[in-house]
Amino acid sequence: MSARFWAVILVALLLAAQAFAQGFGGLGTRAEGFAVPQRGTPFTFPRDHGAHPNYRIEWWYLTSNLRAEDGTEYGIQWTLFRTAMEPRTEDGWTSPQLWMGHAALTTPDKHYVAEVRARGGTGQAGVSAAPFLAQIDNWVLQGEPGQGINTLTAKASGTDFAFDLKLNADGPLVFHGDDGYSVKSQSGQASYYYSQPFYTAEGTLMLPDGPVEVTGTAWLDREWSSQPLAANQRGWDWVSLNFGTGEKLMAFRLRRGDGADFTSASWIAPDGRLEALPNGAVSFTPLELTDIAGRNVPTSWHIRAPERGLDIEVEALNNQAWMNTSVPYWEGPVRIFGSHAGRGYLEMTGYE
Amino acid sequence: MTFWPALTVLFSHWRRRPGQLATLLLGLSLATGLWTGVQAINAEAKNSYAASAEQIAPEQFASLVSQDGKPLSIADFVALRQGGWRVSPVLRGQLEVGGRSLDIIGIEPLTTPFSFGATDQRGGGTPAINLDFLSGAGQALVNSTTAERLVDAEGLPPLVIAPSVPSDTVLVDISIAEQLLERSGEIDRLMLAAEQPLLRVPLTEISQSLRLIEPREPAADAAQLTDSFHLSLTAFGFLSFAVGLFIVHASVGLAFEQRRATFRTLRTLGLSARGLTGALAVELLVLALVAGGFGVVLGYVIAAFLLPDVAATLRGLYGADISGQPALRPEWWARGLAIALIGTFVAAAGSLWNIMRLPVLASAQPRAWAMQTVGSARAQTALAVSGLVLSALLLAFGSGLPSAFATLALFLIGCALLLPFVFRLVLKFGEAQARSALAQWFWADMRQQIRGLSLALMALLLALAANVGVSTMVGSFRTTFTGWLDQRLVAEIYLRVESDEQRRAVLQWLDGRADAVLPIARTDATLAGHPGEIFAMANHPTYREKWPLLSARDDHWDDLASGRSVLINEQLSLRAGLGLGDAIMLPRVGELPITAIYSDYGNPAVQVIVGLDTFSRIAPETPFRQFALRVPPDRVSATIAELRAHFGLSAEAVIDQSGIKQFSLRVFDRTFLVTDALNVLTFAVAGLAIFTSLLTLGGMRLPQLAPVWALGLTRSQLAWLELARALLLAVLTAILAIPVGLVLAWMLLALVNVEAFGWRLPMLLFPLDYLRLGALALVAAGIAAAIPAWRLSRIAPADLVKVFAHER
Amino acid sequence: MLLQVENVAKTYPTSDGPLAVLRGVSFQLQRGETLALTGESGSGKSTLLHLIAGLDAFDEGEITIDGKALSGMNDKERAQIRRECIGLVFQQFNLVPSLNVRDNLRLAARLGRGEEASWTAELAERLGLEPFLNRYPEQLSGGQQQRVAIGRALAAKPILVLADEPTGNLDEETAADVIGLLCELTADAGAGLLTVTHSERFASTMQRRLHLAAGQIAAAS
Repeated sequence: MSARFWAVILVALLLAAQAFAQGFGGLGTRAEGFAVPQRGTPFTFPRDHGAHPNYRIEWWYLTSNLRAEDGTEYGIQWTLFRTAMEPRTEDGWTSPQLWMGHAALTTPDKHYVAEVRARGGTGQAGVSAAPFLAQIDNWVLQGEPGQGINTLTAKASGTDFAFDLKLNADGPLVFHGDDGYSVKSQSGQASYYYSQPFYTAEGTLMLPDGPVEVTGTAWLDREWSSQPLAANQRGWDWVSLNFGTGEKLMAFRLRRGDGADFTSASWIAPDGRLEALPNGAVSFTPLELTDIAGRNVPTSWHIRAPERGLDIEVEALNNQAWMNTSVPYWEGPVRIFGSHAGRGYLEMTGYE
Repeated sequence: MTFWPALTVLFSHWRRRPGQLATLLLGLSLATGLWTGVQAINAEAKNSYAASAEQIAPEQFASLVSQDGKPLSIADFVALRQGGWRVSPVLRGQLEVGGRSLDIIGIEPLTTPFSFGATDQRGGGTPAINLDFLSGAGQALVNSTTAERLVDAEGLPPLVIAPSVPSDTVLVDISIAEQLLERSGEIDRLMLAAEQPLLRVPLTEISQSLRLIEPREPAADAAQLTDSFHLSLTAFGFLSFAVGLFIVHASVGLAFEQRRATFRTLRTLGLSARGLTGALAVELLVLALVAGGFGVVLGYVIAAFLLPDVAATLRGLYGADISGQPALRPEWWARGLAIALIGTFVAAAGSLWNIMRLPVLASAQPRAWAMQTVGSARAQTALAVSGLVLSALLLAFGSGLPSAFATLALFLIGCALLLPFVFRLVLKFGEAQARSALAQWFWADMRQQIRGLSLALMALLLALAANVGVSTMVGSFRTTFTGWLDQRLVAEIYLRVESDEQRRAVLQWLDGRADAVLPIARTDATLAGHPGEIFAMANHPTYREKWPLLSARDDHWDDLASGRSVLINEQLSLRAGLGLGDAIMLPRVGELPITAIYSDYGNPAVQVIVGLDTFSRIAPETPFRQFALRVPPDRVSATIAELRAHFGLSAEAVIDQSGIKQFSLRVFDRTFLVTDALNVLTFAVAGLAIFTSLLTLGGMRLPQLAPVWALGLTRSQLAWLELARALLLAVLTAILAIPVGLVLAWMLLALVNVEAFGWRLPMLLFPLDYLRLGALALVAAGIAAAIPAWRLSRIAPADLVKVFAHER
Repeated sequence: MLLQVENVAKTYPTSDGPLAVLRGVSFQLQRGETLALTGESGSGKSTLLHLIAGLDAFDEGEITIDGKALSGMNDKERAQIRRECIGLVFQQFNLVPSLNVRDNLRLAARLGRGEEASWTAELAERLGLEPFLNRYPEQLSGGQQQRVAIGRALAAKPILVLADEPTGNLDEETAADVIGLLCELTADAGAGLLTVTHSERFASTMQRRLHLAAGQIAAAS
């Protein structure tokens, strides 16, 4: 009764925010009053591990490829989003800062999703830079004092799953685009974007059948901006790939209705040196579409970066990895075949 | 093709006799209209219940509140969330806006509890947040009724219509509720989501001062409770429709009778029996569609007229919220026309069948129409008796609301079908008593007439019985209810305070000024498996003298006060099958025996009354904030004025008991306005049935009357005799209707009401009302018979002579 | 052969036992012939007419109209014969009271093979009905109504005209008129005429005559 009832309430409340917003999740809306990333701004740590409330949208995005002792592969996602209605903070319910947490656990057959949301200003959610703590409800991404984000504990739970991972970075932070100034379109919208892609991970997954011990790798993305999408950009396809050679690739393609897409990528050497690949250097070609509740979503891709000798097929571990959250998208672990092999994560937004 | 010419001939009859056409259409329209109107009311209500079942009421959730009744804080909320608990805050209070007292509910839309199942087909589980609700000026969600009342009201955020919000309630973001209610940082309750995540910290580790409240199924599960109300309406609809069908049958019979010769002509000219029947069927179809169309419009008008009262009634009685405006939906057209078609064909079936079967030349005989053969009369009596037997069986062994209504329906139908048989007996008796030849002829002729009038008289019986039954029920209800109100509303003034300090101050002030101050307190509880409430009752002679008890053991008052026993309401007794001496389990105090049962009309929920001390043990955290004051009657208004002035109490905080009583009675009266209206209409329909039947018979009576005329009675004497016969028949029907109606009333009170409402009313009698009804029946019959009688008195002698000349 | 009646018998059930109204009647009628059926009341002559018209069913024997045998027919088929081949004129006129004279005239034709407007107009003129075309039957005298009945019967261009006491309700003068019209129009239409009558005068204007007594033909001429 209660579930249905609240669903009805929210349907009643539902005057689509989309009516006034543009692009996926409203991220194409103009950035009135908010701060806008400037090229050449240096990062300061640990302060920049924390929140930037005068920017409209921000996230702490952890993805992890894991394997159990019996060889079964798993994927984990822990994400905390911050979005601001106005570029300021306040205490209490009137705070314009809103927080949203997404957690997911993907197995070859199942995909578990949980979402929680919180108002800023109450303490229910928030991020502190030092010691690093990103939390919402009882989900945490927590660092050791003085360690920045080099060692993290990642915990989250939903109604039918939970996880508890320990992460250790064995490489430096990397900064995408032009020293962390990552351009998203020809018109110049940009975000501040850095990652810690070098985590080793180990921990426990709680599944309906019981706990599973796992090990693997993890990747944390940090990004904030006020208008990451141009008004006519529908969404994006993004991958973070870990190759067997120790190299890594972050690549994304922003899709526009008329097919004039924008790509950007970062080729990361095992020692952490990053080479930014410009628009057009990487090509994304969908190979296989999966029907997910009436949408056609590509769950297998052909990705090429000829200058790097990259010609790979990226295939979802579980092609039903749809996040049916309040802003829905696809996110799940992938296997890599072709010129390079390895594991990674794929995210696709804007497929309706 | 034979079809079109045949149809032309048939319709030409109506062109020449527009009055008959009007009667037929009127009867069918009325019947369809009543039926459609009632259905429209029922459907509108059901739609609204479906919406109201999903209405916002935080009590529907398991919730956490503070044990001492004080508000919770944001810190409590955060602590629970960080312990893994999916809770969502609610801040609620009353606010006066634009002269109305509104229930402000502040919620937090990001954390409101719901599951992650897909709410739409495409797997988008959680709906997106509407930012306008949260930010800037925010939004106030109200339903359309409230919005209309708040036009030009100031002090609220922009209004947005949301049908699932109850009336006089405003849904806002908690940040806005904080401002409106001036309660910054407070939370009244934390609702718990139905599904909670894994790995939660136990509640006791997070906080020791929280109390869990179980979810309450909405007490006004409106659809279920009001089912009986709607079933009553439907029953009336059926009744009206049935009576309307009698009219149709009579009118169709009349139309066929008057065209009897034409039918023969058509047959002789070469129209086959099937062809004729087919053309007649098409004619009926067209008429039914036309009448049905009028009927649907009429039904809409009836619904529009009655619905506001129904709405007010249901709101008052059950808290159910239905809109006061019916919508003329396309389904109504389809259903109304369908019922008109079905009704017409059912009513005309017999006549059509006869046409099919009769040989061409035999259709000249008057006995073929509208008269029962001996065989069918016996069959009808047999049917009547079996109906009554079935009804008795259901009465003895049936249970549940449908069974109660079936018992009622079978009884009524059985009585109606038995009517001709009873009449024949009475008339035979009358004939045996007759001494003059004229008197003998009078009685014998009346027996002849019965066969043609039986249907109309059955309709009259049903209408009268329904009137008797319902007026008895309403009368009993009202008298009992008024008396009961007097008992229950024992105190002169009812008082509500806001806080403990205010309570202390007020009680101190009242010391010496009031004869008695009786605390009132209640708490929700699950009683014998049903959601209900526990009331505290002070130990005072006021209650001992006045409380309306149905049954009780000796010394039950003392036992109650000392905490050794409890009182339960009739609803609990009936629903859980508990009687005196049985034990009932109560929270925290365990089992206590029941030593008295009291009547509790109009309360849908079950209830237990305990002594003050017992109550304090059951619900120690519930503060005593309400009081009943005993004050001499002449001091009532003065005391109220002084209380308000002294303590700044609002009008709702200090109430004069007579005001409550007035309100209750008003609500009550409006409930039955609807049934009154339907009663009147049904009566009208019955009267019309008699009228058309008499007209039908008019032509056929000539062969019976002509010989008597030839033997020496004048036409006006004949006319008066016709009138006398009609009145006599009406009186007889009325006399028979009274016992039928009383049994009907008993069934309504003892069966239907109990099954539906859970409590029982005693049946009272109102002889004056019955006399009045009888007089009305006489008047109706008199009017109905006047015109045919007058026409008889004016008939040309030549027409009477023709009877002898024609072979007919 | 227009009409052939062979050994037709008809028995009615009554409360005193079966009553044999016709006990084996046979005769023939050609196109253009006129035949009178006479007899006392109860001799079965009206019954015989009804049987020929297909308004009732006979128990034994056969009636053949224009080669079609009636015995095997159901109600629908007999109705069809009636409207296509037969014109009926009754003692009580049997006009439809809610139709005016014009519509009454056209009725049988419209039920049958269709109205021929010019023929109907001619009939109306010859029957002297033109001034009354818009009136209703209740406004006409007996003679006028019977003329409408005749017109109606003939407007359908039947091959066989059956008349049952057509002058029974009329006075002498009107009766003579009606008889004359009936014979004349029937002859013009080339139809056969079979008429049941009490009237000697009427019977004598027919070419042939059959006298029925106790359900059988007693005499013929």
